[in-house]
Amino acid sequence: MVAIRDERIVSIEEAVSVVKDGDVVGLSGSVLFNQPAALARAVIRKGVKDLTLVMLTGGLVSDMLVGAGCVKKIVTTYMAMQDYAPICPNFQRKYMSGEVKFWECDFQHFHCTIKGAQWGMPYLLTKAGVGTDICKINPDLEEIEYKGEKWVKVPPTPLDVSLIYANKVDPYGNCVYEGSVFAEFILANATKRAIIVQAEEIVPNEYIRRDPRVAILGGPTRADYVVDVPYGAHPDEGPKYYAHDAQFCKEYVKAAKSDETFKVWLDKYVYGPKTQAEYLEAVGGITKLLTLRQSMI
Amino acid sequence: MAKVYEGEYTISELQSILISRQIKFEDNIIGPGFYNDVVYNGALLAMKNHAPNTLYLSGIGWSSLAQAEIPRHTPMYIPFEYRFMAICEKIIRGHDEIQLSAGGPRRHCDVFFLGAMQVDKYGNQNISIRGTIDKPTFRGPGIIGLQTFSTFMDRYYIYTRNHDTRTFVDEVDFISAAGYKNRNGDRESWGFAKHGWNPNGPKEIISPIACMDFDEKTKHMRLKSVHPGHTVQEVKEKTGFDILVPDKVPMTDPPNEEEIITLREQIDKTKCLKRLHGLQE
Repeated sequence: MVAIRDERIVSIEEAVSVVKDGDVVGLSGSVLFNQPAALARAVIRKGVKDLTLVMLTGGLVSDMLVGAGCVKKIVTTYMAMQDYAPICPNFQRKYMSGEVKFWECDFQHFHCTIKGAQWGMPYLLTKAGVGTDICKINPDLEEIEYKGEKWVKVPPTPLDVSLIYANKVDPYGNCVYEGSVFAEFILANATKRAIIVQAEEIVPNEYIRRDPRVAILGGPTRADYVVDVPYGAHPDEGPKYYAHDAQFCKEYVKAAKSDETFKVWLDKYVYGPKTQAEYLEAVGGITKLLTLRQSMI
Repeated sequence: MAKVYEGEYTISELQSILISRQIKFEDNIIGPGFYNDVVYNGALLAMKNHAPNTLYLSGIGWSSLAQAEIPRHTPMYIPFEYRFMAICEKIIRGHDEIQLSAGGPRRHCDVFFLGAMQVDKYGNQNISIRGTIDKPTFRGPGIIGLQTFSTFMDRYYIYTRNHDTRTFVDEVDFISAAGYKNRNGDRESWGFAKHGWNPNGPKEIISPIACMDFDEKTKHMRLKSVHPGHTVQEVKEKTGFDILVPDKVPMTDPPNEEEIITLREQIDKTKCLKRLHGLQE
């Protein structure tokens, strides 16, 4: 008898069922690239509350989760959408009203807090932030003296779940990236309960073995749940596959100006379309998708 | 000496050129800012125009323009674009990038250009909040890597889109990146030089109307040159503190023909420097 290896492919609803109220959730990508947009919409539909979002740099997708009321705290270095919005609109509004907390940090602190979690360290030290006001805005960051010198002490941020976009994934969770890679690898390493990966396409394991150098997440950081979502990063860029959707971003920024207008937007693009096919129809269908694909050339 | 360009140019084009002039032949590596059309174009112009040995780090990898040409349709202000790979010779992973210039024995990046919401007389920079920490009146986008860059690199510059009393303030509301000195001490007390890290605040500030540097002794901001078409008086009025003004303030060297032609024909192919900011008044 030959034992059969279990595949990890699940539906998007099954995948996000592991995300619970109050979880600390890592998001892949940055600004308008590689964000797990489809998983985020499923999380919103599930109605999860009080999440802490952790990402290298935030963008439209993290702002959408904020606008939908899923988030209580954000751990990141930056929240903006290129020239569409110098500051993410929902985030800005909800930060000012006190609804969402912001653990603002520098790349160094982000790296220390995630690496600290990965290594199980109580804290890591960095020089970045010494002489600034960073410790005043984040009570759990501390300026300490070590051997007569000032350092910033960064506590770890372990993740419960990470939601990750990949270009390709095999049924066992090995992930391939064709373009930009952000903090996916360190986020996956700091994740305890589940690494959930959505990809443009599911490729056979042979694809990876033909050249194993292409796998970026794999081994202990292979996906626990694999979801097949073509055009799943839309409105972000899916590197090599399609460009970001400028028209959609402009519409988003306009809608995100107030809670009322954003509720209408959510009904149109998140609560209304239940499947990826319905969503892609809602954003402009095949004509839009081909345009975005051709913009990659 | 190249001939001064006599046609029209935009403020963004001029600022790009001023940025490119700060990049020297022997600067191996540049870490450019996040979404910043002017800085990106300036950095790339330097590589093509006078500093072919420099490497340029975008969000996707290390690039050289010595052999490569910029793809025709790529907007040069979007650092992570897949199309950017056309000029890359080494792809980076995000988790490597955030360690860049992190203070190890090998410095990853030499030069960086920060943007700013507020900048003060000692070169402190704010991109986080206006108002106080307890009662902010405005939320900025966040620090990104500005503390990393202002701590571990050889030198850095500040580039601003506006020159007004709202941007150039006596003291920043919040210190996102520390300059020469501030309410938390000075560079010496923070112990940067000891490790071989940057002992200085911003080397220069490039605004749409002037260039500023800092007095060697007092570390106070000082007017260095005024862009063509602007006056010392104007700079004084638009600065929210008493800026040091030397007896003689030269005019900023205007673009020369080589710079403008290289910038327009080989770097800014999508004309974003023209489109985004309009012609100079």
